[in-house]
Amino acid sequence: MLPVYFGQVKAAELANKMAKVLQRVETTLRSFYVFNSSLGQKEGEEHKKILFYHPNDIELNTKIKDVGLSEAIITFTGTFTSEDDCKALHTQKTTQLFYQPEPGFWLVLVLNVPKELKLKDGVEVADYRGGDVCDRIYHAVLRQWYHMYRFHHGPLQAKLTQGKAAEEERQKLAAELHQFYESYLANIKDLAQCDIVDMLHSVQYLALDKALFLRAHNFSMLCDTFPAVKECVMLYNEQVVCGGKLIASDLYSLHVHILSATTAAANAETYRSGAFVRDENEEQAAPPSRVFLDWEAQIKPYYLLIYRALNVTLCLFLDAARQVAPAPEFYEELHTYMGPQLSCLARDIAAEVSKLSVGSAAQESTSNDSSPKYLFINEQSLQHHTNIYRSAKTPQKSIPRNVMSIIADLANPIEQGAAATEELQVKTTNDFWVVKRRCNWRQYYVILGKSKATLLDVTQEAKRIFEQELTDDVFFDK
Amino acid sequence: MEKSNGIHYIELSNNFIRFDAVSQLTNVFFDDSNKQIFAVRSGGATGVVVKGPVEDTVITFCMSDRGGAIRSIKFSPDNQILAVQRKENAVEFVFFQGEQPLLQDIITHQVKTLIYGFVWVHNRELALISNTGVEIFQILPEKRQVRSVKALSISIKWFAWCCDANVALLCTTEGNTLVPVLVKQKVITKLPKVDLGNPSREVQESKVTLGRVYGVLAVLILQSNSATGMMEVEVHLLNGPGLAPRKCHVLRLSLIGRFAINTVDNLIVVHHQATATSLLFDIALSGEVIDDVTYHAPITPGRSIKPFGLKLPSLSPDGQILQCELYSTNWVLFQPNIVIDAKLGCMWYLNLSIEPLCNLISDRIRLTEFLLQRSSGKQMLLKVVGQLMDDQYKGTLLPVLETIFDKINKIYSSWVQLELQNQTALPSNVKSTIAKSSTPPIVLIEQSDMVQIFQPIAKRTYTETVLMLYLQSLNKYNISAQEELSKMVISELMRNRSFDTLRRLVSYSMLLESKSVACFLLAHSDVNSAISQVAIDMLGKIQAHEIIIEVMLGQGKVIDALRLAKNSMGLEKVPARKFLEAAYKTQDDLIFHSVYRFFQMRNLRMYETLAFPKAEQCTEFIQHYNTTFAADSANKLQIS
Repeated sequence: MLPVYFGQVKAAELANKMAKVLQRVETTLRSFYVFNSSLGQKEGEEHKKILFYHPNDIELNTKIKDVGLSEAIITFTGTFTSEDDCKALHTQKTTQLFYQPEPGFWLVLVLNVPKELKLKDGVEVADYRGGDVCDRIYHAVLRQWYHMYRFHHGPLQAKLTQGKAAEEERQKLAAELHQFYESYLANIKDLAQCDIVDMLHSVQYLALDKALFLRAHNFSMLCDTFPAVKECVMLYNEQVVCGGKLIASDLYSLHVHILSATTAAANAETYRSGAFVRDENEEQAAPPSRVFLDWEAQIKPYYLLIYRALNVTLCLFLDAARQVAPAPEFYEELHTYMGPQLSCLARDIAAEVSKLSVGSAAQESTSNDSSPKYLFINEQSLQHHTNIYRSAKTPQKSIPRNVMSIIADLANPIEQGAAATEELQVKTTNDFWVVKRRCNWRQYYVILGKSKATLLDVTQEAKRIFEQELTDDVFFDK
Repeated sequence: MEKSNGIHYIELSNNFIRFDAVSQLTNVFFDDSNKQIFAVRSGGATGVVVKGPVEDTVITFCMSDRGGAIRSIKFSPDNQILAVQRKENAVEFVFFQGEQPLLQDIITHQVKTLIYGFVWVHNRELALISNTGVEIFQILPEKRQVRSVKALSISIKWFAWCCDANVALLCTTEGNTLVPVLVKQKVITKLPKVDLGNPSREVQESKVTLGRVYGVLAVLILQSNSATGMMEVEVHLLNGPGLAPRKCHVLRLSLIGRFAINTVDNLIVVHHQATATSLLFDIALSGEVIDDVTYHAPITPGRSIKPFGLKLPSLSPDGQILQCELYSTNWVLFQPNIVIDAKLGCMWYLNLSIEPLCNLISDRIRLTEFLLQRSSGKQMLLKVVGQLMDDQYKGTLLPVLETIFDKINKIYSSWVQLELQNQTALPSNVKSTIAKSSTPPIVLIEQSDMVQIFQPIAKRTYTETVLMLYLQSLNKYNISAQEELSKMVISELMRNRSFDTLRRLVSYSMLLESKSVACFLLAHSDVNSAISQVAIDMLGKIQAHEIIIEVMLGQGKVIDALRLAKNSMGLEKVPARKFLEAAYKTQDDLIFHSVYRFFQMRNLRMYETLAFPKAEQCTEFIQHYNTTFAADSANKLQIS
């Protein structure tokens, strides 16, 4: 990562620290655009480079200028490092994040950095807090935006060819991007709330008793009974039961998609004995939605059928490249096969989950708000275990933004092969301690809020929490 | 017979016994207790040939014809006393020395009643069954005495004897009831009578067969169905001492005519003479249940016994082969599975030929149930399951496989539990457990057997699914996976890149946790780093720290290894040379420095000096340190 700083005034920031904060404005989305420089090479055709620009209702000239600036920065940094090493640009008021998912295609996310309005000598002054924006978190958010698009529409590269219809194809792609991202951006989570978990793209697995896990896992033998079904993924409420062989990023995208698809039509009665989840506006005979999955290093389209029985959601993938959309009889056949079995399984899982939640509720009540926070991440499965409430309103239950940013900076990128053992202790400016340990592809963080703690106290306390909370994983370096 | 199509599930054994056929001179008797066949020529005067239970066991002797045709002749279990009945109210006892009778010492035991028959219950004890009851006599050859030991007085019309269970079924004159009586050495126990439903019902001797099915005495009564007129066999089971025999099963024959019944390998075989077919019934299989009585249809449509070619003694090498007449009127059947053709002079055991039978049962689940109860079923069942997973495999068969696995493992788990109990019971009372070694189930298919049939299907697209199903079934019955199966599951999961499943299996401890399995995982850690993590997790679970240390040293993670070594072995026991060498090999000065300093600190704590003891042989590393960090070491030396 190579942040490029332009015109950031650190001294001014310090000087303003003492002034009284009137109001704080959190990180917001300024703009988001997709462009490909190879599309508008000729003079006067610059607008053709822009495949998508949000917000749409601004002057074309501004759009062209923004894209041009991004292009310039990318090219400029490219002279020092390899081409796609340009990751982020910080200005006083904005943070720009760059992402090149496919050769030539760039996605740029421009954020308004948080600002604090202060009263200084009777005059209202805006103090921009660029340092509060964590590049890695938002870069991951940007990457997820791309993955979501790819999940629904496939890779960008495939949409454009060099043939005669190039212009037509460009327009078609632009329209598609517009249609997708306008509705997608309308529903995204508040950017100010994005945290380490968003960065990791971690999916939570349901902890089940082993017999139930095997039963759920072996439900995938459905794929053998119905050869048309290539893969199946099972979820219980929001948690993944069996992820099949989907790669982590696809599973995350699927998870997000399923959550939005099923909560929209969450009517318990409909799914008592199992039914396919369909969009209500959709016609009965309409083909199922197509999604794109990275399967054995190839991105291919699949039909996605969502079946739900009670709280269990089953996603079935059918090869869309080779076969036509399934006939209604196929749905019927699947339904009669799966319905009773899946609803029975769902009931058993529900019983197990309620049993587990009784146990954990008892535990939860004992831990009060001020108790130390922890976060454990398994790099291999992307599972996390934490007592940080992500959507908490009160800061007691959550942790300050700057601590979150520090963790995000400390977190090791998941893709790296070697996993060294590390131990780090960081003290933040607002007197928080972050203790990080890493071993055997697992990262462990403990966040302590004791201002007067000594290094020894912190070590002791962290050790205690590691021993207390790490029961499932083998952490041999306690 | 033409409808048999060459498939026969019942055959006559090859270890048959030849004997002199019945003629004017020769009488033939069979003792079903000892499975001995007696060919008596001229009332014994010109010789008695006793054969059985196999062809080679022959006793030949002569005895004088003492008048009166022989009615019954039986050896005591040790072949030392021969009981012969020539009159209806007397039994003679002939004592034997070796294989020859002591003809001068014959005791004739006379009673006042009408003897229906006698059975040996012990080497020196014989039970006489007569019209007035059952009486046990002890024979004392030394004293030339016969002494009554025990008697049960009951008026009897006829009786049947089951030698396996030592039970006589008596048909009483009063009320026509059937009373089973347990006759053992010195003991006669009257058991509750057989409930025939209708008190006035009269059962003929020829309609009753006694047999043992699944270790339980069964009274099989042939009778015609009042509604259809078709013949049925009522099966009354003697479920235990004190419990009244209960009509549990009805075998629907759907035929009329003459029948004879055998039991082979816990199957009830009903022979029908008119159609020359034998019907097979297994009361362990499910059937239609009405009023607690299970109605069974034959397992398959009736087929004839496999034709038997008898090689006649001949001088020419190819010999002459005589096709024996099956279901002949000269046949006499004895329990459990003996067929005697008195005219031909041949005795066979009926055997089940299981392989053709498998082809006749198309329902694989029923076939599994059936094979699990057959003494020779194991190999066949393994073959059937193997075929299901191999050339007959279809995705739709997976639920069938799941059920089959469950059926197999249910039996497997009961055996595992039993063995476990025996092992845990051992310390408290050692003597008793050694005495009663538990008998294994008829068909026990263990994991190792299954792995044998999984191996041929390794590396197929569906292998993972099949293995996971088997694992699920094992888990259902609380059996843990063993090494071979665990490795196979791991290989398949790795091949399909199902690392997620692998991780969860290991975290649930569903695979065997051993050094061997963990090292197997480690050997494949180049496939994906997930495997490396899982392997170390497993090693951590079994506390195999020394292996983890080696692994980490191998990966160049010297600091990690050192930290673990310190925690697991204790500071004093960490070998300095090993870690210094590994640190040196990383060619990373920082690592080397850290490791070196760690040991210096250790030296300080243990020996109160920074210097390494000579025994640790670290001279080369001390030199390396001194050359690499020259200034640093100079400083330190001054301080110390």
